[in-house]
Amino acid sequence: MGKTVLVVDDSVSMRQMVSFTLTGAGYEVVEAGDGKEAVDKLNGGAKPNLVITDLNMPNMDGISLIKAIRGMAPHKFTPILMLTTESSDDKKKEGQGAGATGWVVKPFNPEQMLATIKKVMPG
Amino acid sequence: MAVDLSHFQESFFIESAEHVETMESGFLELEQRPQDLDLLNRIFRAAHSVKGNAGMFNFTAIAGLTHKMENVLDLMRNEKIPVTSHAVDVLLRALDGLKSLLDAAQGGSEPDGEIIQGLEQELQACQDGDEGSAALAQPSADLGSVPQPANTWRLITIAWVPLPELFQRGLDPAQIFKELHELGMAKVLQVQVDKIPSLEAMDPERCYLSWAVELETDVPLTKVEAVFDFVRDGSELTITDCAPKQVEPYKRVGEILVEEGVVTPGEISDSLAKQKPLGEILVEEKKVTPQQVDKALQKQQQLKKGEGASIRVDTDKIDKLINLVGELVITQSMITDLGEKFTISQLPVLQERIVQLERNTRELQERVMSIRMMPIGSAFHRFPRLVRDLAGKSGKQIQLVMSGEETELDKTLIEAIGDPLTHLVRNSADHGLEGPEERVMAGKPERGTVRLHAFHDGGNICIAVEDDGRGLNREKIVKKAIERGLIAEGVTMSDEDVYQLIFRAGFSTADTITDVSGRGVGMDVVKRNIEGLGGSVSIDSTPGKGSKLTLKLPLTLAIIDGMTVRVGEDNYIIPLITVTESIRPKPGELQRIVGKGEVVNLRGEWVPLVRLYEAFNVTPEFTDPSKALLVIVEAENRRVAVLVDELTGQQQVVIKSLEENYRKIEAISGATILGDGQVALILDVPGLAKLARVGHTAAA
Repeated sequence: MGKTVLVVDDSVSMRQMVSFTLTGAGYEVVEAGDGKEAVDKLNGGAKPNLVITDLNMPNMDGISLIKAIRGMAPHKFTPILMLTTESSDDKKKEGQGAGATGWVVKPFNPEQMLATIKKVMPG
Repeated sequence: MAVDLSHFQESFFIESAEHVETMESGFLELEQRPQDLDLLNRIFRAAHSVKGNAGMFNFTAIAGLTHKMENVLDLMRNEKIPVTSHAVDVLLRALDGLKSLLDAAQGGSEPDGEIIQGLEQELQACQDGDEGSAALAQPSADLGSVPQPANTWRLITIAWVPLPELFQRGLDPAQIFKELHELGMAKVLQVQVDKIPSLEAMDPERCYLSWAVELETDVPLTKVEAVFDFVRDGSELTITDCAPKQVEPYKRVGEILVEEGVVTPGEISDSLAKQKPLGEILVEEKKVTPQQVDKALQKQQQLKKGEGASIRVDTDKIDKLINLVGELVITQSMITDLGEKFTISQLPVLQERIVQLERNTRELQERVMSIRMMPIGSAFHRFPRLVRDLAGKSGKQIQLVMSGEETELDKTLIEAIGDPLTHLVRNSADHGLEGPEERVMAGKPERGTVRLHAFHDGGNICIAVEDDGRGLNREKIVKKAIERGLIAEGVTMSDEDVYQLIFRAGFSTADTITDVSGRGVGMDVVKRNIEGLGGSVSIDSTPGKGSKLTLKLPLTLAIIDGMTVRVGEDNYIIPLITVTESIRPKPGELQRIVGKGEVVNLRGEWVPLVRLYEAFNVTPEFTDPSKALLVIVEAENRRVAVLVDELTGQQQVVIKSLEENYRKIEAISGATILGDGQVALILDVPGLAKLARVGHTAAA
């Protein structure tokens, strides 16, 4: 069975782009428009093999989402990649502190994103 | 795998437009509530999203400008700089710049770099005490294609003591080894186990091991280092490479020339500036004419604009549609079933099912139409800003009150009424409202009010633009109209008729032409545009109390209320909104006037007559107007009497384009299919009026 990725971003165009790229690479995609929706989906039984999340989002931002996911027993070890525009280390540190596995710095091209996913996707 | 991102640009533009609106209304609110942190955060998020997404789509200029805006907003929300009205002003202008950049990106044209640069500098100035400019991440779209210099095979040794919380961050050492193995031949030399504590002290979620790895590879060191990107923080990592010094990456010719001191960077950029667009080169080489280039460019623009105009629809609406289609299918199969073994005794059942089918169809029609419906609020968004600017320029105090923003209207209509509405709002603010002193003298509050109100009225949407200003001045309008030769002196007219005069071409009552309202041209254009959409404009005004202009529009352009008329064996539809009355003239009321063609006397007014059978070359039942019927229609302030055999009824008709299916025909705006399956042409009333005039000159 294909691997599932939960894509969390409030921007529709970003979600579309990421989903399109992932689907094209053979992944199943579940989308969420913000942290809250993502938490709902996870509580509702979604079992992604990996989570990609934006940081800046209304309702619940990416950092809070990462913390929330790490607090859920079934998703404790699920890799989480954050999308960030900050190439500065501060945001990365904050994300890592919250439990993020890695990051993809915007702007990125689809190939870069896929390479990063491959890097952390459990085998 | 190459992925074409342009598919998603459409979404990017829609989204950016929403963010721009959020910012615009946000900035205006910010002036009222500079301390509102939630508001600042909301605006910041909008700017941030535009920046991030623009970067993704390689719109560097947009990303650059929003980055600067974001910086200012970030400092504001962290209370490093105050929210001053100057700063808001700069932000608003930057937003205008952003809009122009977005437009340019959409149309594919070149934005005005100088203006944008100026804005960026102003934003920079706002940042005051800026802590070193955070360099904007450069788009790295072609990072993947930079050729990596080949390295020789060699040994790289890696000593890695991972952070103990490795697993809690979703990381896995096995992944690292797998990745290393993909780069060459990886061999674990040593596993350090000495940190493993006693069983009772051990936390199974922590990593106590460390490794020494030997990698035989030909990839550059950076690739090996990149494997550890996500685990480096908190890890102890030593990578030793015995590789020869790396070959420098490729440089551009210009860079090399500059390094060698042959040219200066300035000379390079001068020369680069000489690179011309293809069109110019072709013109110089006389391969094409400038006109041909212009035409091609225009065509390109149109193609870009017309490309995939899209609409966002709630999934909810679509779900309901699908349900309805399901019901429709069920009803249809019920009827089919009934038809197969029908006996006359089942007639009531059949009738009942047909009623059900009708209900389904009607609901389906309504739902499908509702997909094109958008809240009119999206056309209102521009007005708070407009009114603020107008107030600033004219020294008036104006408050704008909007209501009924949630009223839904066809998307095409919303787009089409933007400009006429803007004109009316400008007029109200500029001509309608008085200055503060004049208002106080008249016993009114200093601050004038412009009210925008949208509401449903039967099958129509009304939008009222109302002000509490001085109202229309009847005498002044009459005087001006006489001066302009629009009316004769001494004619008695109702107030409504007098007010309608301001819609005549070239009419202006402003004593001085102001920068704001322009030259008084426009009200006629407003009226013509609204009528072109199948709507109407009415005025209500009380001297000293204010004026109210009401636009009445159909809910949609795709369906109209029509009057069906018959000429001989053909049916025609006249849009109901244009019909004022129908009469059967007495023989004496008709005249043929030299140079004016045939006219009919309508209560003292001579109205040109169009014989439909002549215009469309069909055989009528009657050629004598006193035996047939005249339908009086009005459009663009012109009345025309249309000669038909009889009126056959009124009904809603769905407009089908003739142009798409055949070609454009003078005085016909489209066609429709009647209940009995016959095709009826829909008359274009302004076109008919033109036909009447042309007919006259031809006759003269």
